[in-house]
Amino acid sequence: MKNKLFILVVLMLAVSLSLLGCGNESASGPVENEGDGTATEEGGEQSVEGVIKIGAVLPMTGPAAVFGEKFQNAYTMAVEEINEAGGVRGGMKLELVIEDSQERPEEGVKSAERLINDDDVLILTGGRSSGVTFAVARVANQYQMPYLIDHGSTDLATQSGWEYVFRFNPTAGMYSEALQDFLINETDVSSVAYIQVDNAFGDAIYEYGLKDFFEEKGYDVLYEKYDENSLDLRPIMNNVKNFGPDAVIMTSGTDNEATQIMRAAAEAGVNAKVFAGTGAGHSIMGFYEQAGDLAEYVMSSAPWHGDKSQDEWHEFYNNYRDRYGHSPGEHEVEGYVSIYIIADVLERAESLNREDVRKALAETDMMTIFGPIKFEDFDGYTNQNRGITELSQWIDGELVSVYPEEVADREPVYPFPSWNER
Amino acid sequence: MNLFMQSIIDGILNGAIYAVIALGLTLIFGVMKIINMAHGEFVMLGMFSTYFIYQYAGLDPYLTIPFTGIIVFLFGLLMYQFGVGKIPGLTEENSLLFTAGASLFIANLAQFLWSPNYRRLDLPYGVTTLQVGDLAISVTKIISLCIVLVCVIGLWYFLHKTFVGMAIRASSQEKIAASLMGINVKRIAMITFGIGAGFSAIAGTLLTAEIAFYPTVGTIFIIKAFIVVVLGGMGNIPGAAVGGIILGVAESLGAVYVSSGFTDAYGLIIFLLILLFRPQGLLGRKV
Repeated sequence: MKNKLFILVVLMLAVSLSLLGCGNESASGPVENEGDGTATEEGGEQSVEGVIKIGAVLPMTGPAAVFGEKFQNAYTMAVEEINEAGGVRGGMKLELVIEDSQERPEEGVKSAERLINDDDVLILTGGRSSGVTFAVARVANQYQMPYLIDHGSTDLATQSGWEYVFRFNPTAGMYSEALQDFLINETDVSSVAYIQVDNAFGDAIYEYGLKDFFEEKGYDVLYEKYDENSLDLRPIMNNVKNFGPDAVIMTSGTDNEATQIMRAAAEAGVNAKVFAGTGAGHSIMGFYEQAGDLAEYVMSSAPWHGDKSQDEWHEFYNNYRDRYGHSPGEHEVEGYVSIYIIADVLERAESLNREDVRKALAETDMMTIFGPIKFEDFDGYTNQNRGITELSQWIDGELVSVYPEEVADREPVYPFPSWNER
Repeated sequence: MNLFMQSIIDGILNGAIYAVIALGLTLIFGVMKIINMAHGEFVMLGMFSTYFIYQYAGLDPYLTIPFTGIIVFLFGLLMYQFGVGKIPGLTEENSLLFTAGASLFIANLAQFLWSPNYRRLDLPYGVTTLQVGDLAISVTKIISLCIVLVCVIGLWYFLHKTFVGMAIRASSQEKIAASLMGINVKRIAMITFGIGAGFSAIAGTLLTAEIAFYPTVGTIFIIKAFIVVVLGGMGNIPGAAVGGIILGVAESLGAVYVSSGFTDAYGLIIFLLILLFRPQGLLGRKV
């Protein structure tokens, strides 16, 4: 019997460990290759038959593969557009090299190292999740490889003083800015239930954004965390119901979790004036597809994805739709813009080596369909673009901008209709 | 007080589903001494069977139970016939290695065939609740509880009142004596393996009304199932039912009164306590 149990315990441990390893955005950093920090060979002018390689670390297999594919599509489309229009530096073509991270930080590190070891790769982009992005950023900086982050949002990546790491999307800490302004200026909310997923993204949203906000404004706060593999979030919502907050703020990693939270809220009968997510799960189409009516009037505070009335934006939207058969969302816009920023940087770089690419990246000042791009040092951030965030709301199955007024398409529906009135 | 009552009720309702998952596992262990690591994958196959029947035949998920149960039962038979049963000198250790490998293989094959994407059934009554005073009780979970009760009673009846059931119990108690009495122990083992698989498929069907599913979802269930089985006593069927409920209630109360961040930890703490103080489980040992 003892023997049996021993084996069982060992196996259970193995299973739990493998489960941990699969965790989408766990924040474990890279451990290998501490090295001496010297760069790999930089060489002088590097051009293999007029080709410049752009490296991208993306989840191409595993549960997050859908996101990897979105970025791959967007990058490919941008690269082809630029090459067809004559490339950069008077005729040099861009080439995309993708390495699979499986959405695991330790795999992300290996992928980044493979790309760094290829002397023809002059710049990295991609990363996707907070955990992988942070791991890649550390390695990139260590080996003096310029890295342009386009989606990963953990604040640490641009708060660690890494001069080779740049980010044009807003950080997780910034995600909730539009929501904070909305709560202060447009509502009389005084108590909040905050529910976050237990991973690097969830922690960053809270630690760098909402925590101080709650304290400063003196809100009465109920703080809850859930594991991404939780089968049932009902206990959390029972607690929230018992607390009876004015607003429920939620940070979810995926549309699946976002749906699970709203189901639990409806089941438990939690009524609040505001139900708001902070991007990610709550702001992707999959949330509405899975949650249906439960998603109606739920808000989401997230990066602003460009002025949708602009001609350039429409051109991108239509081209993407024609080519891939579905509408582009936040990931596609970011991926597409990332390649255009890189093309601009490569055009301006004094010569084609990583150091000059970094210098050119630092001097970026351009307009894109994602808004203006300029990397600055402020509030403890280095090389961070001052991204714009917006508050949007699911109304009749569409996510429309409702706040701030400058970017809003319509008035917000406030307060949130109670569950038995809808 | 309401919060407490609500937590207890939710815990019991969740626990009932854990109990069905564990039922198959404990049955297979009790009869064959096989620790089936591919059990979570049976649950997953049940979920996908329900999904495809619902998608293509438009059948209500709860009505798919007989079909999913039979499909995965047959899958279990095949897996025993061409896999587990072929292992010479079947012991706990080598069957464990085999099923662990099968688990990876099935999950990855499913991922290859059906993509790693999340799927969810969109049921019109998905979040309907029954209001009893201040308590809101999920209707889908009440249906699940009823089905679980039918399953447990059905299994008990099958084991105690039918010939095959008695043969299964006989094989679990004393293999050699059973075969001397004219019972084909190999065939009984195969049937038991199939029944265990079928039960997990039913649990899978019940879960499709609650959660999204994907090919690698099985890993979540295998851990819960082992906790429940150890809790109730390995190979003990009433033990699995009691263990399931205890785990469900512990998770629910823990999330409300301690912290929601460690839901999985409560189960593992119970698991360790049981291993330390009552390694044979709460209830006896045999089927």
